[in-house]
Amino acid sequence: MDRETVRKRRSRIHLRVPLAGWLFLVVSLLVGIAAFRSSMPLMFVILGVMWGAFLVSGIFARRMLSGVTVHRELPERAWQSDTLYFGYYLNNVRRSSCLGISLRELNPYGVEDACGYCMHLPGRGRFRSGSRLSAHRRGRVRLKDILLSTRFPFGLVASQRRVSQPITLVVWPAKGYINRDLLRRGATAATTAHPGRQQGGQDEFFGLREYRMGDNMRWIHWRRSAGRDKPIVREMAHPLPEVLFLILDVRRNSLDELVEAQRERLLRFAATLIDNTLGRGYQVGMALADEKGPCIISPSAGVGARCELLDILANVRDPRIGLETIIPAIPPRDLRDAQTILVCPDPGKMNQLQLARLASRCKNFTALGHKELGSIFVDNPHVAREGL
Amino acid sequence: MPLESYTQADIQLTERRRLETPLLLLIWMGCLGFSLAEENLFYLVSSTLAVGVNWFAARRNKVVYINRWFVNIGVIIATLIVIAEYSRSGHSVFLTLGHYIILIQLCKLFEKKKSRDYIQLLVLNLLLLLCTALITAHPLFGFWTIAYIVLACYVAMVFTLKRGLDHAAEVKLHGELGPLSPRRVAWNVSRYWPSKTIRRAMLVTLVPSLIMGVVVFILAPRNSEKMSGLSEQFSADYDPNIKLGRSREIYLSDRIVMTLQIIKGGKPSLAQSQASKYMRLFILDQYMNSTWSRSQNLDRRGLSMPVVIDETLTDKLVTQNIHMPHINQPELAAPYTTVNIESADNNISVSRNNEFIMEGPIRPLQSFDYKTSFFPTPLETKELAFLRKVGRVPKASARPSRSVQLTYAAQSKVLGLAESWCEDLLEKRKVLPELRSKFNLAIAQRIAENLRLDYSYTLDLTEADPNIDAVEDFLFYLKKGHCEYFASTMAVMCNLLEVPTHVATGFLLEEYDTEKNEYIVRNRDAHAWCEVYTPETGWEIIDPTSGTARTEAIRRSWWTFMSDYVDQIRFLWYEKVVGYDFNSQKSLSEEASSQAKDLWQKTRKYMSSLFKSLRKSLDNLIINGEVDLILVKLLAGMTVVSVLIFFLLLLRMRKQEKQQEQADMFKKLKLLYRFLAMLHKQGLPYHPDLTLREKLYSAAEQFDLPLQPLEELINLQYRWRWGGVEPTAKDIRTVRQNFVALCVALDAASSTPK
Repeated sequence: MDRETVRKRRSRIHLRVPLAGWLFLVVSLLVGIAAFRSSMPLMFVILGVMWGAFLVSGIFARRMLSGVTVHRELPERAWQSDTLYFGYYLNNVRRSSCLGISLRELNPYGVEDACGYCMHLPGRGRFRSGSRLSAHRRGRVRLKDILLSTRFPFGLVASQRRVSQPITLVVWPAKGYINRDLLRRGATAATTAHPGRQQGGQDEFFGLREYRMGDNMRWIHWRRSAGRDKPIVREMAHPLPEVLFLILDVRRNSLDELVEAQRERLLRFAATLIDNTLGRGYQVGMALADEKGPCIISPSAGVGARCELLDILANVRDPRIGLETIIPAIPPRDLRDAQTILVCPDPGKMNQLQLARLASRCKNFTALGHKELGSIFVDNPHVAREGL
Repeated sequence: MPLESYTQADIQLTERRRLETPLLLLIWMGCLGFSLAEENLFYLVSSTLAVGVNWFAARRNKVVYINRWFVNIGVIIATLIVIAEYSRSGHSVFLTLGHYIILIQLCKLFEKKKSRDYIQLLVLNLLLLLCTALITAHPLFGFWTIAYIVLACYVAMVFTLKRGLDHAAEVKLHGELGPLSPRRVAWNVSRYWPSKTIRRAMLVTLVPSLIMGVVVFILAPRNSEKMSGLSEQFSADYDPNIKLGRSREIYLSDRIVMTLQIIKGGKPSLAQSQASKYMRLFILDQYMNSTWSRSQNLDRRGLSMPVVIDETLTDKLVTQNIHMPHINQPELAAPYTTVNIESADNNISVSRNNEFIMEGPIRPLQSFDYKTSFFPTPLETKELAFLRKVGRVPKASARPSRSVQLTYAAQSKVLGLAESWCEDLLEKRKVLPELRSKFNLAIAQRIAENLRLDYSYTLDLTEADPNIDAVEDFLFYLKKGHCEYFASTMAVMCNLLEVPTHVATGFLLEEYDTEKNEYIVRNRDAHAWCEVYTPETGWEIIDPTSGTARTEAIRRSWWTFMSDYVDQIRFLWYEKVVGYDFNSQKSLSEEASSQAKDLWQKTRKYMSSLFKSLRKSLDNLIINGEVDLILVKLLAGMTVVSVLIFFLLLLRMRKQEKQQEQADMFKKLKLLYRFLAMLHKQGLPYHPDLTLREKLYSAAEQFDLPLQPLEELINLQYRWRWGGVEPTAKDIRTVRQNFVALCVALDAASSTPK
């Protein structure tokens, strides 16, 4: 980064006198009175050195921050109540070193952060100062400014500089623990013509056959191939992907805190389930209501699907529609081969006919309410401690 | 007493050892300074022991501590001890406060220390420094203070860093079970301890702080009414009373009190006799409690002046022109045979004690010139009669022994010794009462001679006992002292033997400036002597202090060169630092302002002449079309300067471009890649799993390459790659040299048949 860019980005440096500085000034004032009253020469020297130290402290601290640029290296997503490790990249464009720089997020609503600290930033050098934060609530957290500050050399004056770096962090609902396997294992399995490329290690052995073009070289059975003209490859059984479809009722019927807490718990359960099932290779789809209307995500697997589903859970606000509108909007193809789990505050209060129709469209159907969740789902202990 | 060990990561993280060692040294320095200033070894030994134990523990990465309860009990006991000490011994507040601070520090040293405790120790130490500064002004303390400030700066810097480290180590988020492991935090906050940077920062911060200290010292307003207590104590013996046994050590500065020119027959000359060299200020004739004072108050309604002198005596008068740069008191120095003193204002009167006093208020910075006329000694009868007539010879006490008040035991001892010295003379005086005056003089001279022979001169009176009478102490125990002791002892002995004697204080003329033909009187020329009365001769000066011994003691208190040097430093210290008062400040400011005015005048004059000549030249150019020399010079100068600046800028740009080019080349690792390619060409096998360092080491082994340039090359590359350090021009030069050396070695290795 050239100097011109740095100058543009550089914001104003403020000086602040902390408590230690005020106490120091008071002591220097007393020393001054003692010096004038006693006319002791060394007292004047000490007084001057004290004032000099105070002034130098301010000037030095100010100079230190003037050439420092900072860049926050933060992931885009985080789990609620989990510690997120990230780093501040500090760059010093000046020749002189900087010492004792602390970094803090300014006004991070809903986020608790441990201040970053860089003890020594060499001249024209870089340093990555590790830090961490923890989000208390799900949703989108906007981190705006970073406060760079230093009290070096004497801790009497603190110089501070705000560096504006707005970034949005998507906080997924906290991950808990599901203590019962809700999903039934499907019996469906098919053999593939050739071993799977991606999931080779997880498949089961099916048989041997001759090598064909495009087969994975890793699966050549060298011992069997030894006396033959063509290599022999192992053929593996590859189970068809399982499909999970989640239907969530996230509507709030009242503004009661208990209702809100129950809805949050429901969302945490959904997030945990999605994370677990995607980790097991499932394709996961989801249907829930957002502010605009029904939001249907067709079943899919992989990192992208995980982010998409959990982002939707993180962004849930206050939808006005309920399951009676969502269920008819789900395409039948999404439910055909899927194990469907419906999560709502109380399944008993729902239209049973609608539920029966839904169940008939799915491979497996499970309806869970708060009562059931109590025995299935164990919340994140830190979230439980906060009483959310 | 438990010992707690720290892991390496803990030490790296909290930097305990790096803070504790200098902090312990700082605490010890504080205690050392205070103990030496007070001369109290108990506190020094105890603090040394406590600091030593902590230091050994810190050296072994351990901390030694006791339960906090015991520490608190120790603080309470210390408080009680100090209260008892203060109420019983009646020490000054600063001494007691210093003791209290040392005791609390000792207690806190055995506490399990946190950041708060470190702050407390630092603040306590600062207070101890202030206490020490208030009780002493010894020159060693000045150097000690500077060393202390340097160390305190370092400790404060390390402590500021340590606080940040501690915070990083202790912070725990709500969802975390505990803080991060020390190793992880250490990795997050620093790679290494920046000792070099801290030392550099210390230098950068310390120099302006010290400059500020000096500036405040010079410019801070001082009390204009009086000199500081210390400067009074150390500068001169101006006190009208002599207080023996009060000061432990006397320092006489080189400050010039007056310059004096003796005029005889219209020409400057040297003092004709020894007695003419004694310039009297005060006469003291009452001795009590080791103190000499006046028997009567200074009588300003004294005798008339000027005195009309007979024509027969006018020729014999000698004149002194005296200049005092600063006058601090109304009494004026003059020889004891002075007839008249004249000044510009004619505001000088003479008391009945024959002391000359200036009337009217004294301004602190007032310089004063006056002229004395006196008869040179020995006096002739006519002259003495004239002096008697005009009242210049005060009468002596009829019962001199009454003017001396000693304890019974002391008096009997002193009298016994005086009688033993002058036994024969006393008997003769008894037998021949008509020659009493002569015998009195002989007795006084005998006593002075004995004092000169048997007693030595010193300014160091640290062994003096303030609880017994100073004369007794001097005569029987101490057996050494300065001029006041000698004069006092002689006067006491003489008076006890009924020889009318008083002590006179003033200055002794010693230093003569041959160029200006004048005597220079400094503070160190302050002196005390005796004057013995006889009806025939009046008051006769007898100096019991050995002149050579005194000069030797003042000029060379130690006989080695080093001691002289140290003495010079001490003189300078007391003169320039301790004695720096309102007067010095004023004279310094006057000097500075006059220098600045001179400089300003010169600059202004030069600039105006330059502008005038320029204007003239321009007028000439415009009107006559002629180019003057000055214009040519100006243009030539400007051209040369601009060409120089242009070339300098061009050179700098070229240099920067070259550096950038080289740095880019280095960054792209072209050299290393080229070298690796050469190695592979020479037969180095490809090993994709090896690191660069491993590859190059294996190449060095295979081709017998020199290791040192190779290591330098790799280290620099790693430093740039992972440490983010930009290579300097020197680094790049080194790399190039190493590269060439390696290529040569590789060529040699490849050409050698295996």
